[in-house]
Amino acid sequence: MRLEGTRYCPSCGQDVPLDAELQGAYLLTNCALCGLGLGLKVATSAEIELASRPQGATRQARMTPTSAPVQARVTPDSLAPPPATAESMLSTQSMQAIRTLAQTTGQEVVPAGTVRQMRSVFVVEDSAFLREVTRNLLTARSLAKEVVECDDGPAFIEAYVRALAAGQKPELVVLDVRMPEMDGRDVACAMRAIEEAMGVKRTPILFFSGVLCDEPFKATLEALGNAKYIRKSDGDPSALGERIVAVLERLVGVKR
Amino acid sequence: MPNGPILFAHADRAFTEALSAALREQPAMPPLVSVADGAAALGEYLRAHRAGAAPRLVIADLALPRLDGRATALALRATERGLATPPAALLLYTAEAAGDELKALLSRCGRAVHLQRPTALPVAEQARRLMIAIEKLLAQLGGRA
Repeated sequence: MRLEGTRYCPSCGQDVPLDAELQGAYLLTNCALCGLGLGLKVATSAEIELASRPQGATRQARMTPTSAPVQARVTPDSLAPPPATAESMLSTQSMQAIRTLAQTTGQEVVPAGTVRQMRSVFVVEDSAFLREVTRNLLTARSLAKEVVECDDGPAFIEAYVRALAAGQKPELVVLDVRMPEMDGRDVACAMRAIEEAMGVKRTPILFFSGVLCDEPFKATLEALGNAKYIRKSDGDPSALGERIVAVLERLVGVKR
Repeated sequence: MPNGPILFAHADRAFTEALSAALREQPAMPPLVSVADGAAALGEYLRAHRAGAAPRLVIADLALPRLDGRATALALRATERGLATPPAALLLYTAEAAGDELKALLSRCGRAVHLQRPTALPVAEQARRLMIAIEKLLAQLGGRA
């Protein structure tokens, strides 16, 4: 179900156009102006009223989520039953791509079609909602045995140094970019300095962000090494998965 | 209490050399380890810690390449917590006066002070004044060798 309307962006301080995909009990979108993730959790008990015109181009919907009202228009060609679970926000291909990233950058040869559960994954994200979504994504499909959640950069660095000192290096770090204490790119830069000083291999980084991957960001990924990018909520999860796999094919030789 | 060198993170090579020369003239001063960016400062801190001599004093400019002084300070404190090691004294040495943002950073870091760099003075004089400030700071900390 695709929703259009407006949504308040705390970063821009104004209502901005909303174009979001409703996935089960979740609504995932980014600010059209600044790219800030505006993921919303929609209560399952939310009241939804539909006023439709059969054969017409428009159906009116009004949703009442727990935090803020959203006036929405539902396009008639997008009324397929939504997936029922949070982890379905990203397609199977997306999750395979995440898994393959860790496997490939860990320089392990993984036969096509096999699945290996990552021992430990760090998720660094200031949004509790998106941490929950990412954790569900990783655990519900047995992609990771342990998910360590950090709500800002310094908390992650502390936990990461502790893990390295204990010989418990994670296999993947999923990192947001826009966070209140430290920008995710700074966190990644610090992470690489720590790894070099402690004599450990670079842990794969997956930037999962609403920030556009422009040329400076691409240069950052290149400089960091073992780092990839997925944009949050680019609409159709299947298309997102396809794009991730395509990027991995081009950059690290991953084959589906 | 860390007992290692002074770690100095500053992108101005000429100023770094002037400070290093000023410190060499002082007896019993801890050695100065200099780096030119924030990421290198973080790495050098960790290497020194692993070698059993964590820096007793970290001096950082805010305008550092790669990882700026603010991010470096936050990452340093996080690293120290991760290592369960006492925090090094931190001196933020900047061209700017201490505004609200910098004060908030000092408060967040703890065991941190700010000193404004007198940029209008010759480099050698700037280095001399900073050296005096370092001496006073180490004396207060009981860290003078």
